[in-house]
Amino acid sequence: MSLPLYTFVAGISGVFIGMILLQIFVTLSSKLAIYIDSKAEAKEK
Amino acid sequence: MEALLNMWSSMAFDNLYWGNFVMWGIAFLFIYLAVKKDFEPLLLLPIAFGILLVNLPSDIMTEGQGLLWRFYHYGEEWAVIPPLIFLGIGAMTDFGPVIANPKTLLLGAGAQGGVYVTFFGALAAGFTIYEAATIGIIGGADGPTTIFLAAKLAPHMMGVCAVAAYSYMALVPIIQPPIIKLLTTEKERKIRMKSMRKVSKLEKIFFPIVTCIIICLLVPDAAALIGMFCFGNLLRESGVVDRLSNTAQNELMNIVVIFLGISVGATMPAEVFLSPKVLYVFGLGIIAFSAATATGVLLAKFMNLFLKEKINPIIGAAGVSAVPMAARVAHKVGQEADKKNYLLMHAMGPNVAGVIGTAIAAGMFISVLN
Repeated sequence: MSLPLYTFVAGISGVFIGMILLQIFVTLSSKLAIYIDSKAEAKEK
Repeated sequence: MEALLNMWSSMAFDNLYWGNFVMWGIAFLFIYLAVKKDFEPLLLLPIAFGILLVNLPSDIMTEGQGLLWRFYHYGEEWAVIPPLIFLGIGAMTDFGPVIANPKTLLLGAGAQGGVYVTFFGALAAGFTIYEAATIGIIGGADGPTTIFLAAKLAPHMMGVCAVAAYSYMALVPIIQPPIIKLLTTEKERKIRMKSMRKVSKLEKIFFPIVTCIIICLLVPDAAALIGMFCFGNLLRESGVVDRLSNTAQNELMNIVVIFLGISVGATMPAEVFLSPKVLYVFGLGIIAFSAATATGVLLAKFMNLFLKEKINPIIGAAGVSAVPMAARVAHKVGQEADKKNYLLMHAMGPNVAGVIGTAIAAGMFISVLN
């Protein structure tokens, strides 16, 4: 594979893989945060 | 008489040539655009003055001794200033819209398509692969990232690419609407999106930490930008270091913008700037920007094929960074189709995701080419 093509494939897949992983982990971390918040709220009550 | 001649020879007039006058004209034009038209004045004004200074024959950019050379060398060639700007941007950014609707992260990636379209365009125009990557990143509409990448891959292109990036960022309200309208139907532009849920403080604290870990592991070459960006955001969202957050957003940001602007301008002496290559860069820059807008919109339309709750494809255009102007433009175009459609907060999601996407694209270029 030529260097420009390799740069393109690596770059575009890197951007999309990064964003998909980020999407997954942001969703998971949000769920964790909501769980922690609800636990803390329940304790307060 | 001899004394007068000696005095004359110690002055700079003899060293002027026509190119300097052309550059003065460009500097005056930028000053006019900044002062009178309010086009990105925070950067355009220092850049314009840098252009003026470097085109007055002096040693101000002489390697190893000029004042502006020192600003440029230690600030940009050492890639110190762009990450500091990212620190400030992080401290100013509210990631609530992205956290509430993480799907919009993909739109930030989609808009990077323009970077690669232009990358190939620049290669076809005869630029080296390093120059092509630097020109391509203009499509990300992110000045600091453009400078960061140029410093690593093609330092001689830094000035012209930075000016092209900032010029096109200022022209977002002119460039984007026709492209959005061309690629969407009236019905699509009228799509109303569900209002966003409230995002808790803890979610906002988790976001920069998670983002920093994921992106820095995946693209270590983007760590300087993403690390500072996330750190700035953590300062903001933690709520316990208001002094640091305010400093990052205001004083520090203002200081680095001064050094950045004037030294970027100083990279444009007439002998460098007045070449056909520069025209190519500006031509390719507008292709980059337009293609990034188009790929963002098209990805949003593609996502709609699979989504139950449709997204308004206009917000895909906000995936080019240009925060928050691209989001405002998306909102405005949406309101032209439906006055009661409020897209601003929805568009902020892809808009801030675009900043991360461009930093990843730059990091990928560096890791492959450097």
